[in-house]
Amino acid sequence: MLILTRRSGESIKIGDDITISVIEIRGHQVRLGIEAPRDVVVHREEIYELIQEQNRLAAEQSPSSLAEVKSLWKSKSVSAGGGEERKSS
Amino acid sequence: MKVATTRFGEMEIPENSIIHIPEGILGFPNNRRYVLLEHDAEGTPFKWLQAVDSERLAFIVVDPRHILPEYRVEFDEETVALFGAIVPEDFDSMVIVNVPRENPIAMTANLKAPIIVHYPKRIGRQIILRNEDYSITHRIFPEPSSEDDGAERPVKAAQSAG
Repeated sequence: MLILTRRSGESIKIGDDITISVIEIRGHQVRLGIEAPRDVVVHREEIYELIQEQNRLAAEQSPSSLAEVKSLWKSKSVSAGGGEERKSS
Repeated sequence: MKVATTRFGEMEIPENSIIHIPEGILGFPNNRRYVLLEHDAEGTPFKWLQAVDSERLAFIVVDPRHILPEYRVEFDEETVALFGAIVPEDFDSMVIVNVPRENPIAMTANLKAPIIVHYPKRIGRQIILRNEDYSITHRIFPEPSSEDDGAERPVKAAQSAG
């Protein structure tokens, strides 16, 4: 692994078209700015793990889970007075 | 063709109803063929996404616009490359629902990583949206805030009746 030391405001380049800049360092957190072409997918590493974990949990549902979902959906839709459940944000 | 499922027994599925997910669903890379089962939806928007080649594997899914009417999918370039030109009308999206066994009301939908399906080709893909507003564990029925606790009682009563 290549290890580089950078200060706030400095950056590194990967190839011709990817730039990673250190925007801010505060305590144990580093804010990074990433410039990359649109076809380069950039995500936090943990998001893949979170989605895999969530998918695995979701894969274990029993038919009774769907029955619960349906009855909750129906009762909530009725109490909300129609199909659209939530509009608050 | 016949599809074996642990939840619904053996089902006869028309070959052309299969959805191909070449990269698999995250965490399940080896399952690439699915069918949508709508037969027991009972007028609600929830369906099963059943793996064709693993009888045990099925997800509860829902069209995210039922959860968030203004929900939008933005296609990244990788996805465009997979499907060729993108005609938004050709696509449908669904999100995976997770129902905690001990507390179903806390069920969540993964709005961050929808499965999009291109219907003319019947190809699907689970994509990760950049939109930071979309959560992996979006509460379908928002948690009542603490000040609503008193007002929540009638709802609880209605639940236990049902």
